[in-house]
Amino acid sequence: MIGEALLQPLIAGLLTGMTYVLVALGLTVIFSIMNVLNFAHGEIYMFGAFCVYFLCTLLHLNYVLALPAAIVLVGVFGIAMERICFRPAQGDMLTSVIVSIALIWLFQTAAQLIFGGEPRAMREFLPSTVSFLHIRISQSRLAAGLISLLLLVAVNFFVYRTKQGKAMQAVAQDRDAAALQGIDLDRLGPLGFAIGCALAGAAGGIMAPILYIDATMGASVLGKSLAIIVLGGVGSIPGAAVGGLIVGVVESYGQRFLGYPSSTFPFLIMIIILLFKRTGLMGRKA
Amino acid sequence: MSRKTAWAAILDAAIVAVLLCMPLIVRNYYWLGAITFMLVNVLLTTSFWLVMTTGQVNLGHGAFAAIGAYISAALVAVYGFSSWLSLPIALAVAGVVALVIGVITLRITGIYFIITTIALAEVVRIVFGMWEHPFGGLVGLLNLRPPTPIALPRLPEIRFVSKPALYYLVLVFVLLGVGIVRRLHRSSIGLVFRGIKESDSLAEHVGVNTMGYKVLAFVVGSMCAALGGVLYTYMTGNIQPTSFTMVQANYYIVWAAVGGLATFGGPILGVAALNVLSELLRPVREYEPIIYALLLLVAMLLFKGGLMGAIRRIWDSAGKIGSKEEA
Repeated sequence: MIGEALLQPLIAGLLTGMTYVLVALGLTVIFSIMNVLNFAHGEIYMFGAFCVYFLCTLLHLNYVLALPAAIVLVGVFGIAMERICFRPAQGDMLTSVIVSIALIWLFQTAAQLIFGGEPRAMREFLPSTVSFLHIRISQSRLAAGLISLLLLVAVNFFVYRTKQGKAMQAVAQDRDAAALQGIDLDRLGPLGFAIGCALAGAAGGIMAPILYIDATMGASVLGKSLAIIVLGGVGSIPGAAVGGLIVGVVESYGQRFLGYPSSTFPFLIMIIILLFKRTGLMGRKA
Repeated sequence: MSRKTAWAAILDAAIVAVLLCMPLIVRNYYWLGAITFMLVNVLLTTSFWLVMTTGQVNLGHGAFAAIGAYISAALVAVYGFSSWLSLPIALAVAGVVALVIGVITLRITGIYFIITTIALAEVVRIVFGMWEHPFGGLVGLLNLRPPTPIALPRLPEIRFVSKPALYYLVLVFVLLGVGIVRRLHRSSIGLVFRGIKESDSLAEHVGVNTMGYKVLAFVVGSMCAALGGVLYTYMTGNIQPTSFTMVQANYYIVWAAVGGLATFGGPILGVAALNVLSELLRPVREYEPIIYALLLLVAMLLFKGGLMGAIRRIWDSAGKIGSKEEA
């Protein structure tokens, strides 16, 4: 019985953590390639959720088709955002921070005006639950975790096995040296933004059938993903994965046993880890 | 040089004179209230900017405003202190908290520091939201009484109920706070701040105690933020966990950057320009953030150096034309 009480939050936390990993990974990919910390990343997540919602309710698309369609849409949106807003600010961190703050206002208000202030709920994609070893997990949560895992494996493959991915790693290590080797930064920037935004959009789309959807849903996700990438090490893919899972599990236990105060935990873990290792768990030396 | 300083002194005197006469010029209490808020924002933004001159962007600036506001409000409303005793206590507490947090976190730099301070802001918001007694939990402290009247011997009692009285009270404290920031910025200490921003390691190699200077800027900036928070409670009569969040700190960075980060006057100009803009956009309230955001994007991507930078360029080119005519 006690085993169940301890195991249930662990499984739930790992599954939620997988979607956090997606969002945080998107943030860290954009940061390592463009040197931009996109504070509007949570709004991209919200955008993904709304895309899935409208594809399913207005166009009556099946969720299985709507999710990839939404991911592509958000990815294309990311390319446009890079071209219009972030490329002119390139190199200057402060300018890009302020630009992304402006984007938060823009996207949130636009979403509020277009979709209304009321939170919306989608019909659950898989309404039943699975149980094994006396642990009950809803099927949609399980599916969310598995789809996230699949996407993570795909991104990992892209970054470590393909030529473009290796070029991205090179840029993350040293922009100037990478440019001198003939890597076209103007092509890699949009690619990084497309992947980064697509990941956030995917997470939003995955959570759409589970959570309420509204214009401000991105804010809390942004805070968590910032905490995740810092505690894992900014720019590190394994770091984002480990960080996301840690935050997911700790938050899950916290909510089970403590309630409201547990929302400080992602930040407290982050600050504690920063004090002992200034580059995060798996970050390179600055 | 002396001519330049003379002009600067005249400009300062003119600004102070206009500020002193403001309640006589602006008869509409709504507008006077808006101007008073603007003054509080000037204090919050310049103190935010002071910390920035050492190269550290503190998005937790609002957290210190919240600490100041909460402590002063709770001491008065729950424990029955006088406003004029609770104000220095609130500032002292904020200063001590800033000292402790600064010593711990100012070792972290760059993007890591920004995110740490976001975390700080969130933690402070959540902690005040949990703290029922004396801080009122998620609801906060509402219907606070105006600041305690001051009774001077053989003079009528000074009450802070009417808008003009509150305006003057806020003005005095804001001038004090902004004056301290300016004094610090223009002193040799301010020069060291900018040196640390240019190159932290170089400053350390020539024997500057960079950590000490950063902590100094952080503590002074945070105490000014706390003062701003206290003034906010005088204005609004309430304080809630959501009054000062990271969203608020976003405004400080935006105001400062739009005004121009290079000079002391830039952030003040930015606050004035953008607060006026917000007021002008009030009729189309629901579209306000969109218009604000679009203007901000244009300003950031097309006009580097902010409003102050643009004014300087115009001033310099006008100066060149003038000197040509003389020659």
